[in-house]
Amino acid sequence: MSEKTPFIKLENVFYSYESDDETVPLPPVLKNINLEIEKGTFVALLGHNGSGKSTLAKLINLILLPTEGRITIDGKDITASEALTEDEVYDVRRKIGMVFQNPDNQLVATVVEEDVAFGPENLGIEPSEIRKRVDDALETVGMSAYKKHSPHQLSGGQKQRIAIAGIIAMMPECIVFDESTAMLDPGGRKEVMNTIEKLNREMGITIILITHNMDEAIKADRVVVINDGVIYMDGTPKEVFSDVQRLRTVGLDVPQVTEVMYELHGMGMPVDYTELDEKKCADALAELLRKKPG
Amino acid sequence: MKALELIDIVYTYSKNTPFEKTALDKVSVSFEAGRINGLIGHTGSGKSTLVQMMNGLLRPDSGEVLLFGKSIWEEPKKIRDVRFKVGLVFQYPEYQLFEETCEKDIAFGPKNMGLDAQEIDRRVKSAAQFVGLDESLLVKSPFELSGGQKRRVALAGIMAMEPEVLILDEPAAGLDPIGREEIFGGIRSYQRSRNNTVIIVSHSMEDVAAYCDNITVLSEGKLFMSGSCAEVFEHESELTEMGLGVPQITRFIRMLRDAGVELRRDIYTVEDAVSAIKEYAGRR
Repeated sequence: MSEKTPFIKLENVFYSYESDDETVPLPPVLKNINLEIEKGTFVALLGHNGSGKSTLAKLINLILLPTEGRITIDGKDITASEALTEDEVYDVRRKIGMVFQNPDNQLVATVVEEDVAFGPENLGIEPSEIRKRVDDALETVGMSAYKKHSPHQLSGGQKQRIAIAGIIAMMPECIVFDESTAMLDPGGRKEVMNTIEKLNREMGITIILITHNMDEAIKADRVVVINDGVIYMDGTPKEVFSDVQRLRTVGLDVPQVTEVMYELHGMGMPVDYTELDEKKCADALAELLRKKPG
Repeated sequence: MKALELIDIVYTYSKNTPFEKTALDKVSVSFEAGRINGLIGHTGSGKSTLVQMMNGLLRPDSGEVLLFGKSIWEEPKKIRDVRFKVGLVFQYPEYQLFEETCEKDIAFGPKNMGLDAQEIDRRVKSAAQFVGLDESLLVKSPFELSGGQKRRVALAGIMAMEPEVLILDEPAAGLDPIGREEIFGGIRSYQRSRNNTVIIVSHSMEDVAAYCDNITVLSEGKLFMSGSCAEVFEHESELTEMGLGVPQITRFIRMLRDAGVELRRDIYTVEDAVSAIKEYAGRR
């Protein structure tokens, strides 16, 4: 027995969507995925459109069941041959919350606090406990002042924070963010990213962040790149983003600053392109440029 | 010449109710013909409302909308013609596809304009080419395609109407870097070949800087400013304050400047940054 059981474990997982024509099955979108995610880690999941990353997220949350292979969540095999009871399915979904791309599709109530209460109400939790959870959740996302507001009057970033509060109120152990910042303006992105970091660092919630934005991915502890249904790269942001060539081969970007540093390095300038902090890069580069003998 | 001119536009939602909200407060802005114009603003800044004024989907409470110098509301019954001249592509336009084949879907607009079969065919093929849609896909159902391909079909449908002004709301939202480049590249080659007017609404400062000739900034229902990329991105602190900011690379160059490296301010792409830094190093 290993000393640590991973919170999420995928073993030889395959997934194919159902074909209209039964005689011609569709090719698998996920091929032999093996992945372990420890409790409390912040994982960024990258890959281009159609790479299989959203399918992977849906498997973890039991929205989809794998065609082949085994998935274990918190020690429980959710793909065991005997079907899970409804309660067990709900239990997995409670443990793993999901926040989607479009905030407008996720809010159901006409008052913010009622929206946040929707999840815990459905779990059959005591009203006094619900009250406490709603207040705490709104506090965590910094939206307490808006609890009596109507969600449609909020900005995109605020709406996403309400959607996140609704998930937190169910006390999940892990939250999957499926391109949750894609529709937001830069200010809204920042609000949501700060909230995500806080959930991870202060509350220890496991985070799986699906994004196309490399600046968001560098905030993670670990970056997993999916390409054509297989795990293409897996490492710390520093490890993954310093392999610029390998990322470019599959059409993925690196952060703009990394790109500049990488190009300069290629021209023979002694710069460290594995540094991901913008300010540190600027300071180091400025120092180098200033002291260059004339 | 100005393609579109909006003068003193005021628009209030849910007027005379407790939910009354002024979306646009005396906004005056114009868009030059033959250019790619960017329109940026935080959520709720009034961008979408303004865009809907441009082809007459919304009528301002007060103020005027001029299309090539002529008020679009002069003859309200002819507003349909305005919608053929000003094409509007909403966010996630792929959700609006409905025909059996991609070809039919792209042809839907031109057909409604009463064009003959030959002209429709020419337009469908040319629009498909601009968005990089392979001809073999035209006979397929749009629902068999990937998300990025569907987006292109929807875009081609508006391009095939050959509007004088093409407005796109977040055309690359949710696409990966290659998909973004393909969509914006297609829009640019379409604009260059027809020399018409394009207005792009976007939250990505990087995309706006890379593809637009001019930028208009809205904030809280008012015009903040309108100008070239250089003029607009000069205002980093104000833009950041209103929830927008400048492209990452522009911010990085500013940090280098702050640290005493004399570089040009107007750098918006990685290539420009690399060549400017290289040149600076060579000068010393």
